[in-house]
Amino acid sequence: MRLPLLSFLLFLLLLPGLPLRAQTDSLRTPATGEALSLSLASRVRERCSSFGVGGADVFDTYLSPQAYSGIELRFMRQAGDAPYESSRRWLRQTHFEAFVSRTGHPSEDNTDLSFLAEWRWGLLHRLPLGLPSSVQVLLGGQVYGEGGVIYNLANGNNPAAMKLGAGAGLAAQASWRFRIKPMAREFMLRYQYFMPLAGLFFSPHYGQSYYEIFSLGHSSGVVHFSWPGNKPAFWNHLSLDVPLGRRAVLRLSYVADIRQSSVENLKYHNWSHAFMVGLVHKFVRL
Amino acid sequence: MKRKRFSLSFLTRLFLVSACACLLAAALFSCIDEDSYDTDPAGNFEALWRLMDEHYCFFEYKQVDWDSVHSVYASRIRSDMDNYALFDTLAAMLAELRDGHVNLYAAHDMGRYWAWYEDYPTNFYEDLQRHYLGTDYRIAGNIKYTILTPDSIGYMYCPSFSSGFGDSNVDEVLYYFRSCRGLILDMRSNSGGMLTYAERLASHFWNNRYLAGYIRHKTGPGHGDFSDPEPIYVDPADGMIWLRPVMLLTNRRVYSAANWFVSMVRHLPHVVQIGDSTGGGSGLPFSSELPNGWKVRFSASPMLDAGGNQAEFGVPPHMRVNVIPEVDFQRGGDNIIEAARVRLEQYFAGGSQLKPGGLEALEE
Repeated sequence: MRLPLLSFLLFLLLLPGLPLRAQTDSLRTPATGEALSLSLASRVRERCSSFGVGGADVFDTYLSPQAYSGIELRFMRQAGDAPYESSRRWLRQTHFEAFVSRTGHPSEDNTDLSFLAEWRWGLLHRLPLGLPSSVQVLLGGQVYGEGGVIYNLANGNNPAAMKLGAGAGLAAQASWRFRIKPMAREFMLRYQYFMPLAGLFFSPHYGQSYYEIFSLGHSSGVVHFSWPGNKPAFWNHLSLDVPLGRRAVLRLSYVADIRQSSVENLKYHNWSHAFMVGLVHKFVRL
Repeated sequence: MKRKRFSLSFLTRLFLVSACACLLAAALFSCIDEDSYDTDPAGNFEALWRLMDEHYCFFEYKQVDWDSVHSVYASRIRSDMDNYALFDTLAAMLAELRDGHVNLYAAHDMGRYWAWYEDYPTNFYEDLQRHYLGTDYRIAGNIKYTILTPDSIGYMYCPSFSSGFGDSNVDEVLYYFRSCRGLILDMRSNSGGMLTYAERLASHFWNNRYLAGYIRHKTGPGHGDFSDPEPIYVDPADGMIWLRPVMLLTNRRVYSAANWFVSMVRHLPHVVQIGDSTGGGSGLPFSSELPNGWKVRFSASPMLDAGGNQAEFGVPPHMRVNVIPEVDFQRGGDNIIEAARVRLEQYFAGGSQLKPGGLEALEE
């Protein structure tokens, strides 16, 4: 009797996109058994794909001494251990983000097109702060890799600034799960933070052309060590998970993405923010 | 009810301290922003002056006192001047640099310094060239070419490096000239374009890797902040290589990438430069802009010839010859092309060395 029941529960848990609410209820059913519940709970994952639109302020002195501002479109995909449902003390998180922006000179006489993608993976530890179970604070680290380009439509021999980097940084997360009566399912408010601490990134020398770097191969010294002093960056993400009906979970979020560097007397910043909408899927990976 | 004692593990405390330190560092170094300038005439003037002060690469070579230029032109800036007057003033300030790669672009005009060819003889007329090309010449890429008779000399005219040609185009041209004893490579009035096209063409004129020149770049905003010269080598093309005598025709309108081509190949032992000096333009130009949206172009990265010499003011010919319009139009011939043919004929007849003064050593 127990084996068919377990098989049935496993089948349900493996269905892609199945809301975790139903899964955790099942996991908590005494019929599943304590050992199985813990085992499965350690594998509860969630993933969310979000799309958003916002504003961007792009500044790169390799291209122009002026800051450009405009619109940005952003895609973000987060996956990892579900913070409340997973029983792990160290939560794994994978993060992918990409955005494109079209920004203009204040005089509206010139345009920058920007694209940047970033991938991150890391572990976050639950801090035993003695807070209520509905509140969690996590702290950890992530490794990252990023790549992109800013293309200036008017420039001649310096039309683009390439952005490449990799390294590791500090990741933090605070979340609060709460219920709004008379709704049965819970909301989750979460704040996530990431800050690169050390790594390597690409930058040409002050007046060096990409022709010299790539056509002539004079690439000595274009890879720099990054730290918050020359590449201060902060990624902030505030999200609200809103349960819809019996299964779906809608994630409304706001991301403020501060990317900057100052090296070789070249200054760069990409300050952007976006409002995003996504759907959360929770599942168990066996 | 007794509250549970709150305690943190060492690891947790370490995390928290690290996090606080990082956030503090973030706050300290957070803002990397632009230097703000007003969009009024004074703001645009100061932005342009500083942009050039920090990025232009020939201040020391040309011995331009940029601070005194600031003094002179700042006194001409008035808050009530209109855009046309401001543009003229800024363009005049840039002309002090005597650089054809320095331009100011607005919707109504382009500020420029063109004295590098306007003050010199033209030395190239298409009507005279037509006597040699005729009407049934071939075109490969943008290269026009034909065989001159009766002396069996190949003639190829490369008018620009802005529009492309491939190695296969050059291969076809040189293969067409396979029975020719010599080649006239006419670069006159080629005002440049892509450096890669110049290097591509240069790769068909020597069968070993050779030193073509050097490039430097600015390493900081100071007038003397430069990297060490980095050598630029040209590798031989995979296809046709031309090692027979080359008469390279130049005039003052040979500029920028074309100037670079001339400075690369003129050192080859079988290449003789005939005509007038090139116009120069050896600084790789960058672009930027002003707070009011006007675009600026300027020389940012100097390129030197294989001997380490600046070619910003042009490359002198081995044989200086001018077109004499009143005579050449009368006789229907181009004096520079004719001089090249005579030189080749004398060389083939064994009456002279190819280059005046003998062959130059090729620097490897």
